[in-house]
Amino acid sequence: MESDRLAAKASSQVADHGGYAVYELRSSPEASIKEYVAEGAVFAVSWEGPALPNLRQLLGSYFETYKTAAQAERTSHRSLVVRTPDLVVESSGRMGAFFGRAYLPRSFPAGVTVDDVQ
Amino acid sequence: MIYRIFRTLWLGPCFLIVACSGGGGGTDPVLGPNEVAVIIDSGPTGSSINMPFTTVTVCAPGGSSCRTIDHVLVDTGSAGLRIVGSKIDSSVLPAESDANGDPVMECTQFADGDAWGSIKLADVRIANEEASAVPIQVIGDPNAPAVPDNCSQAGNGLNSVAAFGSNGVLGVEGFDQDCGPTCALSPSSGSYTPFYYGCPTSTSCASIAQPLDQQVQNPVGHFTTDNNGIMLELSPILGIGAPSLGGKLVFGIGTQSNNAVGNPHILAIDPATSRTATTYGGLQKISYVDSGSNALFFVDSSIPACGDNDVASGFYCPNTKTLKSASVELDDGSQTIINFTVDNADNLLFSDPRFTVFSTLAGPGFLPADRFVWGLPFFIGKTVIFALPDKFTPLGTGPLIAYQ
Repeated sequence: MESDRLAAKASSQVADHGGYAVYELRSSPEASIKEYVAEGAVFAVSWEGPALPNLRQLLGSYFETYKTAAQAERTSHRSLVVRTPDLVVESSGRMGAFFGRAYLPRSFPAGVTVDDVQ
Repeated sequence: MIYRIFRTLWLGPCFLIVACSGGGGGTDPVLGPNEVAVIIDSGPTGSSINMPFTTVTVCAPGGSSCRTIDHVLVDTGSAGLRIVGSKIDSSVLPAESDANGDPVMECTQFADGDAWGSIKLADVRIANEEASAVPIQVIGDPNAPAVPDNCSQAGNGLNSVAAFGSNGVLGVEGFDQDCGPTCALSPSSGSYTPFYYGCPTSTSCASIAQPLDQQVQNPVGHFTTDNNGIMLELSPILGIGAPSLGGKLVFGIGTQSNNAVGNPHILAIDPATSRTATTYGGLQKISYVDSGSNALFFVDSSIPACGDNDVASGFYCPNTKTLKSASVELDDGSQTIINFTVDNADNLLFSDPRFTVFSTLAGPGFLPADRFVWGLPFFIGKTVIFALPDKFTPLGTGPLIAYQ
């Protein structure tokens, strides 16, 4: 996360939600990347911004899973969902305004749901 | 959104447009010199739903080596012309150069991946209109440098007809260029994917700032006539769907007898972003008018969504047709109500394997709850008008979006 912050000349902040923490990297008023962390591991990320984020970095070892699954799901340039037992990725938007989130359904802390990932 | 599976199950594309046009109201219009035909059909992949296509001709500057390309998506959610490299000979088009004299490439980003390719100068002819020597993108250009790492960090490459879903895209939204000031100010870096690159060698490309007039241009603003905007007219459909649907893309607003404006609703828009304002379910939402979105997209938890593992995942699957309404803000500060129907996407998609057009397709689309996308179903049976920035029209000075 520190290398992200330096690369993007962005501000970062942490919010403690009890069972998990949200690290937010904000590089402009409309560009934000959040990592949801519990017990030292990221279980979800979300993003918003004028361009697409570096999903290879955000998804780490899950990036290839995402790419492979996405090839079978593609139908529209404005939205995409990838749903595997281990990984869910939702991406939407258009040039200038992209949104998305990715999460590991099996790694959510107790009491936390996908609705908490915004 | 898994039409590929759907189409594999129900393979029945319309090979002959003529044979398919019966149910769609797609009569052959007599076209004026500033009009080009638009058709919604199954597209070059055989699996398109609610995608409006047109035909463009691309020539080397000066008019030689012309190539006519069909099934180019008409997109009011982007600006500029992009053609898949297998559909033209990019070697006849001069490359655009950056400040160092190196060829310019673009990593064009979509929600489902990136399209990489060269920026070339071309004469763009559509109907009898021509834009001379404007920058276009050749997606998946076989003569381009290799895709750099940071143009493959967001997902899959959309660099073929099969992956891109059309032979190209004609972006006619109300902007003069594709990226705008963001890409002109400084090279992109850090956690986000850059748009423009300079490539000194075939294996080294670096993010660059790209001046506005050298970005991919909306060709409409460069036409010598009828260059203040466009009107997209689509016929209505009867019934729940149609095998194809005809329409036309008209260039110019109030410049000819065939593009006179009546008394359309002019939407309030943010000129910097083309966002409009929609109130739905008592909530104010940021909205877009986007022919490149194949459904109406908005979040409404009271409408059952199709199952996660359903072929129609991402759309709504209400038990019965559901009537809904939203109000859009007009430029005079008033509101007008738009009524629409949300039908069961499973029922629609499986209703007739020949159907490629549905006026009642809607979904949550994985959008944030504060968004509302007036996608292709909004355009069916309407004329939707997009004026370019600083251009005069009988409706006022652009940018503006109106419909009638």
